[in-house]
Amino acid sequence: MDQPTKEQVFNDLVKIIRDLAEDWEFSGEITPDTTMLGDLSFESIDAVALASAIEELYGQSFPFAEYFSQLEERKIEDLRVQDVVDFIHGHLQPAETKG
Amino acid sequence: MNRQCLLLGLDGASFDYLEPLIREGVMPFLGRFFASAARAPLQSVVPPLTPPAWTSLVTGRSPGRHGIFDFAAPEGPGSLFQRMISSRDLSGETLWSIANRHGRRATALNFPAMHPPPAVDGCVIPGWVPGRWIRRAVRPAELFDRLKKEADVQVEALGYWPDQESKAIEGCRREEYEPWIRLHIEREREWFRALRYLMTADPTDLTAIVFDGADKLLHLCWTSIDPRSAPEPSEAPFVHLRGLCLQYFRELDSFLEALVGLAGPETTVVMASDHGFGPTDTLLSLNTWLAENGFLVWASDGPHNGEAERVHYATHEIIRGLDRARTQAVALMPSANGIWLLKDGERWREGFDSDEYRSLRVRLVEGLLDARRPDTGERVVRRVWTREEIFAGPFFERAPDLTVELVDSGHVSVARNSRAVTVRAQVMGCHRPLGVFAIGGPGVRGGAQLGVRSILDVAPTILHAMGLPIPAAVEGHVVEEAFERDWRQAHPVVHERAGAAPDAENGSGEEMDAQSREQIARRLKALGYMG
Ligand SMILES: [Zn+2]
Repeated sequence: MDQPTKEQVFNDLVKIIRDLAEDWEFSGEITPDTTMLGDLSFESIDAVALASAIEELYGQSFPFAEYFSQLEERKIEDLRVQDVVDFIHGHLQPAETKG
Repeated sequence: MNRQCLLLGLDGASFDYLEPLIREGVMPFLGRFFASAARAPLQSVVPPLTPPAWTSLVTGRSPGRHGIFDFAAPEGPGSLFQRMISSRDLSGETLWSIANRHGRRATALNFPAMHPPPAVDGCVIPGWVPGRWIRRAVRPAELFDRLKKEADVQVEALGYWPDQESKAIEGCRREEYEPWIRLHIEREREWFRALRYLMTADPTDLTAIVFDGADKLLHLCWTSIDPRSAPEPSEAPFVHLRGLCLQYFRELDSFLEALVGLAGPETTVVMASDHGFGPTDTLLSLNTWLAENGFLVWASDGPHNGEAERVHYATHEIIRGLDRARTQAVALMPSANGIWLLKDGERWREGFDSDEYRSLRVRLVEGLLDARRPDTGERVVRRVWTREEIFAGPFFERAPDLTVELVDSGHVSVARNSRAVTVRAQVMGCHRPLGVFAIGGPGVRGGAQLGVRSILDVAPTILHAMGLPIPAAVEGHVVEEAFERDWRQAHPVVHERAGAAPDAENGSGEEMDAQSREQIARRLKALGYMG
C-alpha cells in the first residue's frame, strides 16, 4: 500500500473525530483550521482515545504523549486539525517497517 | 456437557481484612462460600499492581511474557514519555481467547488492558476506560444500546474519570470522602446489573468480572475498613465513613451471592484477587531521593510543590522538569515504583552488560536500601529488583530498569517533595503481595485450606475445571489439591503441545517468529540474563 497523502490522512482523521465526537453531539463542519479543543470540545483525556483510534487505523504507534507535551509550551487551545494531520503524516512508517 | 466457570475478581481482596468483615456479619455469603470452597492465599506478581496482576491472572503468564507492567507504558522504544496501556500491549492468549479457540464463548467485564476490546466471541466491557469513550469500547458494538435499553444500565457510569481516581493515592478533603465512596458503591451496582443481565440474556461458558471498587476504597479509607489502624474509632466522622465503606462490602456480598446463584451448582466458581491490602504510614518520594543523592537534576524551572506532599505528577511534567543531560535516573509513575536509567539524556537502550550500567544500578540499589524513616531511622526499602530478575521474557525492555519494593509494599511518590522520606499525616491503604484464591463447584474439596499459590496458577486451574487443555505458554500450574481425589482421577490435567496455540492474539506486531525469539535468547544470554 502506498503512503497515504496528507489529504487522505485529513479525511481519515475527520472520520475518526466524527465518530469520537458523536458522544458529545458535535455535528458541525470540520476543516483543517477547526481547533480541536475550542471547536470540537475535545478534552485532554480524549487525546488518548484519538491516539488509540489513529494507531488502530494505521497499525503503528505514534509519539502522541511527547507531541502533546510539547504543545503545552505553545497554546494547546490553538491546536488545529491540520496540525494533527501534519504530525500523523510526518510519523507514518513505510508498511514493511511497521510494528 | 461443557463445564462452565464463573470468575469473580475481587480487586485488592485479602483474607486479613475480609475475615473480620465476615465475622462481623458484613459479608455472610462470602463466609459461606469460603467455608465450602478450597482456598489459598494468592501470591501476586512483583510489583503487586492491578494491571500486570490481573493480566497475569487471566493469562497464566508473568509480566515479561505478557507485556503489561503498569497503567502506562513508554510510547516507543527508548522513549521516556508514557501513554496509557491498551490491549495492543497485551501479547499472547487470555482465558477468553483460549476458551474461544476451543469453541467456548466468554464474557469479560472490567479487566485492564482490554481496550480496544479484543475479538472475543462473547462480550467484553473493558475496565479503566474513561466514561466518555465507553460506548465505542464495548464488544459487540450493539451491547452499549442493549444494556441501556433492555437492562437500564448506566453504561457511562462504568467508566472512570481521572480526576476522581487520583484521590485514591493523592488523598482528598474530608468532605470529598462521602461522595467518592458513593461513586464506587454506585459504579459497582452498575457492573453487577450489567453482568446479571448478560448471564441471563446471553450466558457464556466462561464468565468473568472484576469488582474494583474495594481497591479504591482501601487506598483512601483503610482506617475506616480496618479499625485496628484507626486513630480514634469513636470519632463520629470515622463511624460515618466506616458505615459507608461497610455498605460497599455488604452490597458486594449480595452481588456475589446473586451471581453465584445465577451460575448454578454445576458451574465452577472462582473468586480471586490481583493483590492484597495493608496499611502504610510512610511516603518515599523517589525523585526527591534521586535528586538528593545526585542521580537526578531538576532544571531551573522544574516542578516544585508547596507545603503539602504530593504523590503524582503528569509524566511530561517530570520529563520537562529534568536537566536531562545531568540526570542518570528518574521515576515516572507512582504505581509500579519503577526507576528508568538515562545516559546522555536518553534511556539506556544497549550496553546493559557494561560496567557503567551495572555500577550505576549497584549504587542506586545500595543507596535506596539505606533510605530511612525520619522518626525511627528504620529502612523503608525492602528490596530493589533489576528487570531481569522480575521481568524476564520478550517484553522486558518495556519495563523500568529497577523496581523499588517498599517495606510496607506501598507505592512511591514521583513528585518533587521537600523531603525524600516522610511520615504520612494519615495512615492509608497500599497493595500487599498476598491476595485470595477460592474455588467452589463440582469436584472441589470443600473446606480445604491450601498453602500459598501463585497468581499464575489461576488461569490453568480455571481451564482445567472447564475441561480444557493447558497451553504450553502458560507458566502457572493447575491447583490440583483443590479437587477431590476421585475427580482428579477421572479428570487428568491435559497439556497442549507447544505450537498448538497462536503466539499472539492481537496482531500487534509483537508476535515472535522463531528467528527473533532466538535473537532475544542470544542477547539475554550475552547479558547474563539466561543460563
Ligand atoms: Zn488492584
